[in-house]
Amino acid sequence: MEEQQLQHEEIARLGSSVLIDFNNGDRFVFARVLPSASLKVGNSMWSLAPLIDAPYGSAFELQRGSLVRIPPPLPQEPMEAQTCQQDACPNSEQCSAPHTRDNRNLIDNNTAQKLSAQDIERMREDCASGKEIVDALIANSTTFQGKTAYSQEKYKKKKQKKYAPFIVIRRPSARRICEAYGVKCPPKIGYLRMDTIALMLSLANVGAHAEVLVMDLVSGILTAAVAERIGGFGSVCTVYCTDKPSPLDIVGLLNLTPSMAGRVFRVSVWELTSLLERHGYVRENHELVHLKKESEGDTAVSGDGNGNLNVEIEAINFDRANKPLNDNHTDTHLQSDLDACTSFIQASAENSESCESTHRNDEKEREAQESMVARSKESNSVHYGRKPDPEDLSRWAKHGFTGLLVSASDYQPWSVIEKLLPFLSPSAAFAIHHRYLQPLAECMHELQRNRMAVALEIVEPWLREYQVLPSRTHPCMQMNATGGYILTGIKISSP
Amino acid sequence: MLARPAGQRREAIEEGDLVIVYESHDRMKAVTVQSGQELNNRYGVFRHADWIGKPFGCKVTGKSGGFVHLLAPSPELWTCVLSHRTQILYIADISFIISYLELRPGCIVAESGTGSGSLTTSLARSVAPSGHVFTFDFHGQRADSARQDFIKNGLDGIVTVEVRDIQGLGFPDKLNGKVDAVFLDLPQPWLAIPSAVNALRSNGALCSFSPCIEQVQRSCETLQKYKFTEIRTFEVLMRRYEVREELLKLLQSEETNNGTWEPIKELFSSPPHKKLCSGMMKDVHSVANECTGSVLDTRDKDMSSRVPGLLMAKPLLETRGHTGYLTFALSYIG
Repeated sequence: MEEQQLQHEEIARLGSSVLIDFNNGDRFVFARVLPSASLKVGNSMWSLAPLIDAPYGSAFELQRGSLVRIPPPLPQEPMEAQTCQQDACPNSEQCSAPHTRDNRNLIDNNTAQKLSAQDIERMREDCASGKEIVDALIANSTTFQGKTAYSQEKYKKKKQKKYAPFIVIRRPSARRICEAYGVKCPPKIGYLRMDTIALMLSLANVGAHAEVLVMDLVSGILTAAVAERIGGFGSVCTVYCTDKPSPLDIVGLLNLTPSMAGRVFRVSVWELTSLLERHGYVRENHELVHLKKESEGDTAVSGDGNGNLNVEIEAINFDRANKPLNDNHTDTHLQSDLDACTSFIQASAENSESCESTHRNDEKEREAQESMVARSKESNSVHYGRKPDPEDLSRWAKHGFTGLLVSASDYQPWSVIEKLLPFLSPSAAFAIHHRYLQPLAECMHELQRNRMAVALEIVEPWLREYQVLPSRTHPCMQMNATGGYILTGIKISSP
Repeated sequence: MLARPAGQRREAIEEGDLVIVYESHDRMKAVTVQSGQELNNRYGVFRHADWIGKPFGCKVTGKSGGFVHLLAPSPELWTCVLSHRTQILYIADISFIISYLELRPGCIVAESGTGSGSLTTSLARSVAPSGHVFTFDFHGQRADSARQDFIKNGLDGIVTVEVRDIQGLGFPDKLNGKVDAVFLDLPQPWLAIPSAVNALRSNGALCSFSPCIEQVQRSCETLQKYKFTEIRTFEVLMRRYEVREELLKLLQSEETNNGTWEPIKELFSSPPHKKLCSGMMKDVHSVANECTGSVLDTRDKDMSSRVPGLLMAKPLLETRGHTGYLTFALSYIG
């Protein structure tokens, strides 16, 4: 049955959420697969209807006014490219073996391309495919044959992006969402990197049947990652400590089944605290001592566990569940995105040009998203983030959570840990992410001083991608320098 | 090792349980609780019988007054305590592999080789309770030891260990098209790639771990040949930090320091959990009181608790500089 479910997940069904990858990582857009949804590329709109029932990993080309499924493009092997060139013109001096060529004769005078912009436009109007245009451009380039195999490849790639763009649809996993937001708008996910989240999940022992307490001020990416990993077994309970629950909209991007979504809960920290008190727990020395009033507590909770606040949350969730991509919701979502990105840009505007380009990309992204979103009228997103049932609450109160994950860089980690650690069962592991190192150092010191945890450690994950090509393997020229720091440890029971 | 369903959780240590005895950060030991047995370490002699009925996470005291903590086993702790029959994978690589392969309950994973079972244990946690890990090692004895470990850790329902040379024979046909993810930690991974193609479902994920870049190069060429898409190579490391409490010297101005420009008398240094280096020790004489300019005598040992220094974190001096390269790829969609 689970196997079937997983198989089902591998296909973009009607209403599924998909991640659209443009030209192998150029740009990412989230979309919902609906007949009415469309995607804005350049100045034109493309219907997403052809995506319905396509397996994740399928590639599409923008052709003749619509998205056409194509075999996934494979990277061309440079070795092959070289032999092709040699075969084509073995005797010509200009076409000497590509590896002996260099760019000494390359002059940038803008006359290399014989086709004019009008010629290309005409080809487009004649519905030439992208590949035909790229081939024509190569045939009419006076310098192409003189280029090295590598720069020929580069040239082709560049032209392909411009004249034959393709998209690949991906299952929006927490890992992919994290990577996409890392490109689109890192502040939205608290600058968490995919390896940071990966490490946190391991450190906090997240797996099926785990009961994970989460404080998530990172738009739900942490909650989503846990929900995905527990897969409907166990629970993830997200606490908030403001009047309004913090947004978890990223959870809605996952294609959670109703039963999986049903294991994602939301509750205020005060409610959790008062619940424990009702359950006969007394807070003492940062530790809860069980007074063995379990049976009493159970009935008490089912009676008065639901305050007004809960009703309000319910309403918000309801709204979100029914139309997660409706205009209002999207506006606020995008607005917060924009705010976050703007502040990010302001923060680092002094010495960075790349920020501007980031900003511009975001702008385009937003436009694309808005226009796409505006056209999707319905969705089958499931209900997540409901209020915990009395049974859940009493179970947590009795046994404690098995793990704690925090990413809330606006808060002092120690103040968060002091409040939330009592909810963990002894021997449960925690991982707190912060953008800055210092607050974690202070938190670690307090935990040590109060003898609340062992195996305390501050770690910083580091991730570097490589370009692997024959004779040209090296680390990528640009990398993300920091995904933040993690303080981890294991709670011990008080003496 | 794995979390139990909500109703079946238990907190108290029982006879036959595997516990992790925690002495310090780098000293932990896996112990199976058997009343009648004793644990001997530098903190004293501990009777297992005293542990039964205590909650996981508790502190237990030995005959001579020393203490240790008893922790519930987890894949992370297991990685710290397992017996190294081979070079093992550590948490940074392990966590990244699981996330990148998008493993979740219900997934079917094929792994080769099993080695000491460090990664296997984490793989099992990520696919349990409905998924499965098929792990292969060409070394019979190693496979046996790993199997025993999995039984001891209650993973035998999730993990199947087989003796098989994956480089020579490939993955068994019974897995064809069924596997969501393949993990290779082999000296010549490219030899196993053709059979990984058969084992993987469409758009299934592969990860190959290789310490040397030449292995990566060759694997990538083979992956391309077998039409894998999204071939990406990463290096993952983890930097560890230590926290110290120290007071830094102030360079005083002329007026406040009787006519000469010189740094005020040092200082005070007290890392909360680290031994003081001998060099620093010399300087723990006095501490300057900034407000009045008077100098307090801090020879008194209790002073360290009265005058807080500045908490500061810095990376540990020595760290793992390289483990291996992780190459990921997706199988072709037909």
